[in-house]
Amino acid sequence: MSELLAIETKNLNYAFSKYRKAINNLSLQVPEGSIFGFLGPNGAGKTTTMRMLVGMLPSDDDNVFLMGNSLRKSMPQVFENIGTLIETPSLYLHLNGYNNLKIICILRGIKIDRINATLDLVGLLQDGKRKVKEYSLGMKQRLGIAMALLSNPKLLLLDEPVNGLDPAGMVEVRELLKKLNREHNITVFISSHLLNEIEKTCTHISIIHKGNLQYQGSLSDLQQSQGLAKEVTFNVNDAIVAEPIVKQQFNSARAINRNTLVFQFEQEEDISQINKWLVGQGINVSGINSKLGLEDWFMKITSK
Amino acid sequence: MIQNSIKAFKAEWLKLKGSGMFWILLPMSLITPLIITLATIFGGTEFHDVSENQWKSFIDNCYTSFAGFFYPIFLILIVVRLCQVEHRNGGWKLIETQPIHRLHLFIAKFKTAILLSLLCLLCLLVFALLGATIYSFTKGGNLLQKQTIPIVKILAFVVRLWIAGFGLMALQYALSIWIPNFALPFIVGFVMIIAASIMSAFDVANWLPYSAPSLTVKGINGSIINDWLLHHERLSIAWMFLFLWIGYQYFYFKGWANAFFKPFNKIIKLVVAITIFAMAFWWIEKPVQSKPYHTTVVAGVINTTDTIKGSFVLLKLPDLDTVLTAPIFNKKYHVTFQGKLPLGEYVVGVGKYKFKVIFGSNDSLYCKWTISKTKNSIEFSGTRAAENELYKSMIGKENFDYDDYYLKQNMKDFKPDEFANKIAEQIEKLNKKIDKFKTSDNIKPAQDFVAILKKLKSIEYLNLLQNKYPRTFKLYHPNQKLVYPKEADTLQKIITMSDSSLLKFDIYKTYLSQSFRHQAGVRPTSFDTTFFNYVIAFAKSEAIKNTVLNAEITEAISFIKDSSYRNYLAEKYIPQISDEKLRTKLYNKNKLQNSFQRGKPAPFFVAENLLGELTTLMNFKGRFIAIDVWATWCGPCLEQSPYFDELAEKYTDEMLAFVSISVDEEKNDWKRDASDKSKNVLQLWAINKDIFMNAYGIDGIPRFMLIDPNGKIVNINMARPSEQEFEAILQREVFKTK
Repeated sequence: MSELLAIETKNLNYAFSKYRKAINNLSLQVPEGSIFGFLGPNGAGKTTTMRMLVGMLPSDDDNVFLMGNSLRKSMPQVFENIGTLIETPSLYLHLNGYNNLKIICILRGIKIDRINATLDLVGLLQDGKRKVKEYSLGMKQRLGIAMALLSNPKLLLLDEPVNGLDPAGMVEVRELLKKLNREHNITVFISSHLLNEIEKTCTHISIIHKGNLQYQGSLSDLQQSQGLAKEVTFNVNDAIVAEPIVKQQFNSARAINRNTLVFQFEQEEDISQINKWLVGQGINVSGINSKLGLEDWFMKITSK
Repeated sequence: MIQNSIKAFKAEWLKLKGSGMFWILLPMSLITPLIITLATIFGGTEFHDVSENQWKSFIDNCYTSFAGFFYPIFLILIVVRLCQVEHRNGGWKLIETQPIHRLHLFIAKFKTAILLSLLCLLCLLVFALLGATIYSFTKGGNLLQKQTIPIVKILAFVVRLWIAGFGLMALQYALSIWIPNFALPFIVGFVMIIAASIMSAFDVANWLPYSAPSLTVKGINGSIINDWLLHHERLSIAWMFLFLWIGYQYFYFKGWANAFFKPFNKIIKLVVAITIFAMAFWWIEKPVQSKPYHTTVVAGVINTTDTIKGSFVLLKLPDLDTVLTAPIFNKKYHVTFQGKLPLGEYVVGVGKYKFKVIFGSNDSLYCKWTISKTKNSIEFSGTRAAENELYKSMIGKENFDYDDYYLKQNMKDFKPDEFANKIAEQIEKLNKKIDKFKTSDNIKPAQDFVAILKKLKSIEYLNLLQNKYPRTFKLYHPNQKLVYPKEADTLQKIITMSDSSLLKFDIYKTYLSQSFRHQAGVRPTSFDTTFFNYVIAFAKSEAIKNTVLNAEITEAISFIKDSSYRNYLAEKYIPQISDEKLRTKLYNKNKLQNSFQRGKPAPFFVAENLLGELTTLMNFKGRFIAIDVWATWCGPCLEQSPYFDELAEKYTDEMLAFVSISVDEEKNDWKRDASDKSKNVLQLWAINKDIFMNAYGIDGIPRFMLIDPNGKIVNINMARPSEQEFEAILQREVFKTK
């Protein structure tokens, strides 16, 4: 493997008790420069893994490597280039937002003037002087992200970063992460249980279930290696009625509800072919959406 | 490294903003100064101990009532609160993912805690000073304005109290890091404070870190051997290191298992740490015993505003022979002694001030005198510091023991074997108490003295067993023979009749006299010849014989009014004493006593009257004089003076003058009080009271005397004017009526 790894684990194990293994031989490879989605249903071991990645849960062996350094040997200097947000944001509720960031500034030796810029970045500039106690869930989440971003880290570890955000907030954060990744080449490691979220943001993905790694790789490899079909949905006025007619022309077509027809396709051009044909048949098309058929696959591997 | 620890600390300090910590700190430090200020202003609480610096006693009071309970509670509160800041909202995982070593993070929090505790103590000091200042502007406080604040002394105490809290804080810190909720560590701490204070009262487990602050206020003046810290304060530092280490291991390795048992050989680390602590504990708590000094030295400093007359003296008991003297320069003295002095009770004296002290050769003795109008006290340090402290606490008046009291009051209710058992128990209990004794500096008295003290304390009980109980028993069971159980024999052997190590102590001498009387079969206060003969026949050694005879003949000379019997005893028994110095003394004493006989010329004296004129005995030629010897500080004298004045009103005439002679040190004291007295009494002040009192053999006042018109003694030691006898003597002697 030629590419540099921002995070690597070698056979990570963790057990809360003798009989219940939380993580089982987990080997992660997170390439530098990627946005890495760490996916799994609730209780899969995501947070436990995250905690081990930052040394909050000690590993028995020297098997966690961040930016090429052994975590055990390079703690705590390794954190100079890492920003984290694990579980709920860690905030001092009796302080205001500004002072919460100031603590990070002091500990990391960052210039104080970064605070306002970062607050602005997460849209909290107006609320910097308010006590965090008074913040909404979303504001706390954004402040947590700001604390992780404050030092311009090379690696961001974010646990469910859009939790509690409104749709607009979700989009903002998503765009922010993409932008940081694109413009500053920051590696982002996101854990989430929302497939949709990951799919929209990530370049790489891994799936964990009951402590076992189920899949790991880039999003583009996923389709080929797993033989996932590409699907396109058409929003039409009466999918149920249209289904038998359409099926004669396109074998893969099926109606999944009153307004939606799903087709499998090979190439991008196929989509416009289908569209042309549908319009030609007098079927009103009000929307087109293409996606990977992740959901079924995800459901399949996480229901074992 | 240092930078990181500074960063960690700065971050901790920022977290205090809005945490409410200062709202705990301020009321906590305000509470006792406020109460004490109000109590002194409105409640009439006053500082009787005016010899102390008033600022210091006010401030000491504030700290004393604070340190036992409020201070430990405050310490627990801040430590728990500081940890809660992290426990509540996952602060740990925030600070632990910063590029700062966990050691710095861990220490920074503890530093914050100890800084807050210092801040609290200093705030209390400020409030106390404020309170004292307010008090100084009200009724009783003008003394405060005249004195300076002994700030160095107070700060030294504050620092010691601060250090005393370290161990407790570290323990609570480890506990609070381990247990994430608020209540449990707080409750544990609270219960431990109460438990420690209860155990402390029974002198049990004083080494617990929770007891340290209250021990520091107990020894509020600090070490008497000039150590920086008392032993429990050093122990507090050792506790701090132990619990900081344990807490840090837990914090660093995230759990007890990882810290000490996984892999299993980590347990060695724990064993080593605990061993190191155990050694430190042993080293700190091991009682110290003063080693004998290479020579015998006595030194001291006198803290007084008065001018000190005369020099320092060390006197031997019982006859107060001077062993050594030293001139006093700048209120200080220093002297070494070459000869041999047996360990025992001596008297140190400066001017008229005298105190008993335990001392012997090869001891160094340093005396800190405090002399003022209202209080005279002395503190001893040096090689016999512990012995003197123990002796004072065991022999002093304040030493009340309920069992002891019960035993003495209810002798008749005990059967002989019960009584003997009780006595054995009591002696055992006292021996234990003596063995356990340590000073606040952790100094134990030397074995030679411990052995002596155990015997001295036993004497009191043996006296009950051998003398008092048999008499009680005989009274209630006239027909029975008193038989003690066999075990009582061992008790009786504790003290022999020839223990030369005890001869320097009055208690033993009294015991010897009583035992000889008991054995000779005479009454306890008898000066019967049978008794003296018995002593001469049965005393086990020359020293014992000399000591007992000397003590008893001295007593006899003072107490026997019948001069022919007194002279008979003196003639017969003084030659039996083999020590020539003692013999000479006794002869002189008897001679002096004879010189006070009726018809002998009254000794010469010089006194001054209220107009400043010199007055002597000659001024009264041709008149009888009734003399009242008194002093302004003497309570019983003041009780008698109205009776004396009344008789003066009634009887003063050409035949009889009434005279009061004051033996006050200060002329002005006498002038102030004497001018209020009856005009019928001539008020005089003895110009040299020592000469005057020696000449008349006055060893206690009030004293009343009657002298005839020719200057001859009629009665050198009259009844008091409050008694009928006084008036009767006047009528009989002066007016020749019956």
